[in-house]
Amino acid sequence: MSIGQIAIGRNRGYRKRLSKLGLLGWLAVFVLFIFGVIAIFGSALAPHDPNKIDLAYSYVGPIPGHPLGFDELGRDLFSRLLVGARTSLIGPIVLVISTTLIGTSIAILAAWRRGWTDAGLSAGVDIAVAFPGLLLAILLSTVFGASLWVAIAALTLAYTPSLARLLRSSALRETGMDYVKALKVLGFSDSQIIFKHLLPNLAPFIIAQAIIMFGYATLDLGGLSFLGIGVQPPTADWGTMVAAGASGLLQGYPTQTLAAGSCLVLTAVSFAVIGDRLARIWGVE
Amino acid sequence: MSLVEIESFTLDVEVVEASARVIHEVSFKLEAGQSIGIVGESGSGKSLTLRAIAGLSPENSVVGGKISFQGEEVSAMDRERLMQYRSSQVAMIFQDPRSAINPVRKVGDFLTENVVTNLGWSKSDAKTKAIEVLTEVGISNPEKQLKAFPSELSGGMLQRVMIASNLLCQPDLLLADEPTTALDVTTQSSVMALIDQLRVSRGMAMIFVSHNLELATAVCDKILVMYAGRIVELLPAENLREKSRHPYTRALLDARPRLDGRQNRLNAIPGQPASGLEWTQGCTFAARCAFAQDICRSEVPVLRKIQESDVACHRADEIDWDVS
Amino acid sequence: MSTPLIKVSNLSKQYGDLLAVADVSFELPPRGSIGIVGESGSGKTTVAKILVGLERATSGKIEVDGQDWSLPAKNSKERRERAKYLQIVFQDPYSSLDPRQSIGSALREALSISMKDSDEVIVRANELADLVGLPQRILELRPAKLSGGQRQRAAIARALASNPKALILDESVAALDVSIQAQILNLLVDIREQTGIAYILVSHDLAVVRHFADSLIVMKNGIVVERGQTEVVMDQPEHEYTKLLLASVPCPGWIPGRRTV
Repeated sequence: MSIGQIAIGRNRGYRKRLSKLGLLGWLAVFVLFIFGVIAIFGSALAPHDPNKIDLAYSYVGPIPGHPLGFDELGRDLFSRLLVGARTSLIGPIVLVISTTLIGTSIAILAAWRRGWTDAGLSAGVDIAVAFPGLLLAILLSTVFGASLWVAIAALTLAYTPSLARLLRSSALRETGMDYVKALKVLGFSDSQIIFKHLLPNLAPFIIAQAIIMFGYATLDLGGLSFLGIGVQPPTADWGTMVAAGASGLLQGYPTQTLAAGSCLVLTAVSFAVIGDRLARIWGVE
Repeated sequence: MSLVEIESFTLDVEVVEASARVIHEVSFKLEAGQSIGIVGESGSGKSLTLRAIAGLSPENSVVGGKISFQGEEVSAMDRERLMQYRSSQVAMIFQDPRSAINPVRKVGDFLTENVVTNLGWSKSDAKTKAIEVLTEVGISNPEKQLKAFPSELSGGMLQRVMIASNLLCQPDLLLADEPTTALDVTTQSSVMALIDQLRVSRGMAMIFVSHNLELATAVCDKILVMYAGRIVELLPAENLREKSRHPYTRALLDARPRLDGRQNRLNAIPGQPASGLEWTQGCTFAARCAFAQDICRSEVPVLRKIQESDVACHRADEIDWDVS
Repeated sequence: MSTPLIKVSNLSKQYGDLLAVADVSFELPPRGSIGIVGESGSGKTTVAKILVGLERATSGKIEVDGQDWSLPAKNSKERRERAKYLQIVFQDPYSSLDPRQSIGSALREALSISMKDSDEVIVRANELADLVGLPQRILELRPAKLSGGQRQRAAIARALASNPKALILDESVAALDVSIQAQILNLLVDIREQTGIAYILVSHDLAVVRHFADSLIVMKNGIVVERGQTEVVMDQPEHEYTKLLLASVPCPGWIPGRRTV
């Protein structure tokens, strides 16, 4: 690299990098911030009891004090949406964390040990990738009963192999760097090198992937709830609300499905946008 | 009219949304059949200069001054003319042949697709010519190599293929950017011999960029020494060792350990090589020059003729270089 | 003749079908310097990697200060012990330092392996920085903000953290500008004068080897084709390949393509 090129690269300061977040990026951050606040304070913010059933109000449209109207059981839609944020977001958070932890461990183990360990893990991952997450979820729920945790477990199993594969190539590149060799020769232990040097260098990439994954997690968990395999009623949850609103859709009352579905999509897209922008900011491919 | 004429060439590149000059004021001429070596370290601007001649300046950069090939200005060439210029009149050899050749296509395709697609040759003509040039660059069994993939060839062989691809049309000018730097020294020797011999037999002019003074001196008629985006010295190659007059040129010559005997300490130039971006005033080399005086720090030295060299140094005629 | 610091006998390394290193032997006396010269595929870098335990020899013996190092260190504790005898500086100044760590921090970290007192660590880190010619203010910068020469100085300082008796320089100046190369070569000579460290210089650059190494071995395709005192081998080469190598180095009067001097 010539000095000229280095100087040019060095001068791209942080300000230009942050602006790479762009209008869309900042919008996404805003959306997620709002959703996050709602998730934490949902029950306090809800104007009405989200679980209060009143069949007289089934599918009644918006009236003063109930901006979105009611669901099929006469529960206030707006309140359910607010309260449902927490469940709808916790699931994906747990899923992303568990997948990232396991996937990263597999990738680093394979990249560090190389040889037979890598070959074996890679083969295992290649096989596992072929399993559709949905089928796995249905299978597990018949064995263990349907619940949010079963859905999370199934999707963790489904997501981990692809993440591991993705991270493996970055991990391979990083472990091949001379500084890793230098640290080994100096006498650092494997865990010291991995935790203090390797992971911090891989972190931007891993975090960017995790954020993008969050979007898929939201949709997939919502979808499983929609199918009745994830969150169970009467818990307010966007996925189940999309399902429950299906009958309303056919009768000409689309609000529940639309509202819950929009929240899901908005979350997923926001995460995807932020993940993509972060990946660009951190100069990661 | 010279083959290549560069007048007051400057290059401005984009640095954090502002424009900054990285090459200040480069002027020289190259006659047909002549070879000139541009020598310098990182930041000297030697590669950027070469690429500007090929019309390959970086995106968002501004070329100032005039670069002409056979009287025609390179920056005035439109896309089509540029393609023609680069396909048939100018040959370029880069440092890493593997990055310049598509790894998923056969060597034969690489050699022929340019002339078939852009110049309208027939496939059989192209193939015949390809075999001819492969033989010319010393590749045995050329028919077989046409069907090989780049990964099957060594670095040296690939560089020969690169050279061959440039010979299909009869270029008048060869632009070589560190063509042998990535090769082993024995391979470098044979590839350089090839380049030299081809150049002479085809009467091509050459601009040869290198960080290796000895190498450039051996294959070029004239040497142009660049530092921080300017020419500091221009002289016939045979005079380089004995008669160069610029403190940087001499320091560069002294900095290399000698093959014929060990010295105690090398004459290392203190500090780092500068780039054109760092220039503020005066001679850019003044900060590292053992002979710098006040005038050096305030006024930019202009290239002037002293005996057989063109030197850009205020003190060039004062300093007595004792050639030991 | 005193006990050699490092004695390599009949070292071989096989990768599947490829015999990368075949029956290589040499000795490094204490405070001495030896050059391992060769082009790509010669096996010289493999020899270096085997010496520091990054690769395992297929056969052969390695003795360092009388100890048997024929097998790589069993664990990091043994590695730490070995680091007190032998360290290595790599070729690429850009990848040999953790990009997220300031070089001061990297230096202190390397020192803390053997030193427990954090004050002592800081003092020694500054000493090493001085030794390699890095000003204090540079220590808090990350590698991206340093030039190639400065990074190599940092890499040398880090390698010296364990106070090794010998240092392997694996093409350590090859990627540097000519003027910076000269600075680093001078630095290495200074370090040797101050600390009495021995050097194994792995290089394709004959001029650098001549400047630096008392003796040398020439490798081609894994085999040692010639060995001896540097001056003797360079002035009166015997093997065809050595002659070809010497004839290929650009120097005053050089003609490309010549095969003998």
